[in-house]
Amino acid sequence: MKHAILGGLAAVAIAATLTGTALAADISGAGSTFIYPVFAKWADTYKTATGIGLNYQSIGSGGGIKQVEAKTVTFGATDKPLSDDELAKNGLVQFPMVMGGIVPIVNIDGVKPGDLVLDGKTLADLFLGKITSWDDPAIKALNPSLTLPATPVAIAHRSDGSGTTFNFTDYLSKESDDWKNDIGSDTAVEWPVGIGAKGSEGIANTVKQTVGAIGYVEYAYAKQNSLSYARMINAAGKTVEPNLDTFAAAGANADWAGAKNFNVIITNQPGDNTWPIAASTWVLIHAQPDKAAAAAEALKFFDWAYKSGKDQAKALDYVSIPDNVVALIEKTWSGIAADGKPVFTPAN
Amino acid sequence: MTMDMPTIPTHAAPVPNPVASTFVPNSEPHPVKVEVKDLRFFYANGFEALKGINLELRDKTVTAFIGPSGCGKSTLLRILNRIYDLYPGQKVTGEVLLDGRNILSRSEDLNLLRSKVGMVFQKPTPFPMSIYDNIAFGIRLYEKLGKSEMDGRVEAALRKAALWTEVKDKLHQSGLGLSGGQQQRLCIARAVAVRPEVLLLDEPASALDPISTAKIEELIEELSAEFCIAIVTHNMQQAARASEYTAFMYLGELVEFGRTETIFTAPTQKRTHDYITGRFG
Amino acid sequence: MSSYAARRTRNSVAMLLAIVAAVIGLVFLFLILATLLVKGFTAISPQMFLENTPPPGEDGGLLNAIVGSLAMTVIAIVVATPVGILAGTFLSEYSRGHWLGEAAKFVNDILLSAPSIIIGLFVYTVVVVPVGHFSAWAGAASLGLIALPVINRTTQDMLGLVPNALREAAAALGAPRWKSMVSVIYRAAMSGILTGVLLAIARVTGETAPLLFTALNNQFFSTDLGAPMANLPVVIFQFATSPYDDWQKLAWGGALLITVAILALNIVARWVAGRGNQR
Repeated sequence: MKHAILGGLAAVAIAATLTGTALAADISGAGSTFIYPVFAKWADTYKTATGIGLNYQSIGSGGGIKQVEAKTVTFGATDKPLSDDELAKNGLVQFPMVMGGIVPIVNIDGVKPGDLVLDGKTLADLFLGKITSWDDPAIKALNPSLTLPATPVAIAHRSDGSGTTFNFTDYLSKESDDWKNDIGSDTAVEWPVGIGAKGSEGIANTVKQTVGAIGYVEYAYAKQNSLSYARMINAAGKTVEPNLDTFAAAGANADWAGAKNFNVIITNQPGDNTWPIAASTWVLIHAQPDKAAAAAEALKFFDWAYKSGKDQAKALDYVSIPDNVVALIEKTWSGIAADGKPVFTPAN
Repeated sequence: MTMDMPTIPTHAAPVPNPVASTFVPNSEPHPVKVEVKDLRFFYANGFEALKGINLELRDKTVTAFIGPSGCGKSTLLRILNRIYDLYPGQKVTGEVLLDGRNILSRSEDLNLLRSKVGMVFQKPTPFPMSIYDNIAFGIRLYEKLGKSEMDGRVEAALRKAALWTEVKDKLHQSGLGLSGGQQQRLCIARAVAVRPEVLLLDEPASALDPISTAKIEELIEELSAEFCIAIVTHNMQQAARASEYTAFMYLGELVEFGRTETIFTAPTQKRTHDYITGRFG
Repeated sequence: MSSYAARRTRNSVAMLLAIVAAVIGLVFLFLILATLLVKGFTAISPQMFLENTPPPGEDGGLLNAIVGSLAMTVIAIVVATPVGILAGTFLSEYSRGHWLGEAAKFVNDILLSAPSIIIGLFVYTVVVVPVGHFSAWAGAASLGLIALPVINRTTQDMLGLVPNALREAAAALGAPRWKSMVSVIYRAAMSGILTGVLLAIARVTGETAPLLFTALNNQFFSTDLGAPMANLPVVIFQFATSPYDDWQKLAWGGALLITVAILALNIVARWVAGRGNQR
């Protein structure tokens, strides 16, 4: 009798395990570290609302691309968009999910958060090693009212591959021909000077501990750690603070409609109120998903996040995708199909 | 199977000897139990450790093997229950007849053989289990007994090994908790518990203190009433005190074999004489 | 006399260096433990064991990660222990001198020191990719593969420590070899083998890299072994590198929990080993 009960329990457990894999529990995504907190927040709320769990794990943008290509996850997320060729080769569709900002952080005696003003050219010269002291004339010219010490500049950059680095170097390339020609933009580059640190938290710690240091982190790290950030002079020549409004302006002023596969890097966008080092994260999903049900659930979740997740994103210092862009995105979802039928059609 | 081995010098007139004073010779020799014929042994490296040994062990009799280290006496003992078979590469030729049957044959069931030819080693080797289970382990291998029967066998074995009074209140404690001398008597009890026909003792007292040694020797004498016993020893007094026959071995050869009092009082070989008088070894 | 003085001096110098080296090692160990205690202690609360990992800015705990880690470790050890003990037994007792056995020992020793991330990649390649999703099974498999060579090697070593005299003694009673192994030799080596298993558990408890490739992680509570499962090391890694204080606090709590668990396992292992020696 006892054995029969145990056997029965085991059978139920095994059956649950086997069928469980085919059910909704298996909607998983992986990739960008940048988007991880807001995905965690959305997924938590979404589960409470719908009972459907969507498990997103931060393994880095590169990892996300690899996993979605290997079809071990339902979708991937990356801070660096894939080219049209790469998308076509792997049968992937990409669309932006959320936007945010990258901010330069500094540690200079007597310089409080927001005191320092930099422009793209000067920032590039700092990271190129051309400006070696904080009392350099180029910096003084941008900050006439600031008393800058003769402290040597210490550069802190990412030692690991990162979408943050991609967007930051993309901005420097747009602003400095020297940077564009000598270094270029990528998730990891040959840094001419400075010390490497792992992750944004590594940069934040290095800058905190090194007088004269400058680094770049996602906005949340600067804000949560109360780090001394710099204001930037944008493409319109205006000095702007890093905040949700200026990030949103960057996204709003970008030409999403004119770009194939939403391949727009939103650094150095036009507009008076635009933060110049803004970034977005894209979702990657198969156009012909093997598991149509999981893909449909994922799209349903994204639709919900676009429309109902704005406040939660804002609370975590992310900028939602503007409604007109969401409409463009959801139009492309008709191309995500199984057996010739779109797996999910959002209600409007 | 009769006693017609030419290598045994029969000595008719034992000479009184203070060293062998504890030994009372049997009036009539017991029948031969084990017969060793032209036994040669080669280690895995080809070294010939035994060079044609011929001798016999009598039932209910103690035979001592003496000789300097490396003479092959332990090797000989380890052939009698084929324990050497645990290690590959060694080779043996000749015959060892147990009750007339050659135990060196390939078809010999070694486990069954060893249940008939028990062995006690130089260092006590109690198993990591209770005193009771140490004894019962061997019995359970070949017999299925009820609890009371098993209890009786364990007690009998412990009594035979003169250990019962010391351990009867802690039968279920670990055998590893006993003193060295007690452990060795436990091993002897374990060996006799399976009711073997032959008992091989490989320097059973060499790791023990004098009092324990005396107890073991006493025990051997008592056990000789029941078993055919072969004992390897370094201690010549021990050989003289405890055995009826003595074999002196040297460099893989059996130099002299005979009644113990003869070997110790009137050896025929000069090497035997030199060894027992302490000239070498 | 002068040579005696010189020897004394050399002795003192060597002694001093040894003490300094020991102190340096202990100071860092102490610093690590102190930091963990200070930062982790405030994070430890009943909530940590009762609630799942939260999104940033909300209260929560590590329940899903604790359960996930336990589940995968238990599966890994339950599978790796018999396989490891049998393999160790074969290599120690039955294949002595045979080239195949020697080769297997060598390969096992390489596996023993193989970076765990390689084990993770291996399981990712042969399990996760063909199956098409991350799963607790894959996580347990990679932990099991890490534990296996540890248990195998300890078993070999512990059986090697059992004196041959014991094997001879069992054989001399007429015990067949399997009986001697099961009833006598394993008993003699048991505390050592058990210690090896405990150390294997301690080893896999802190592994992050292989789980990232196999079990991934899960922000929700899941008992579905066919799906991604939460686990402490990956949660600690993700939360510790996040910008949010509450996540970092949970990471410290988790780190303290793992450290205390590993410490406890090591103490139990020592105690078990010590008991084995006393008998």
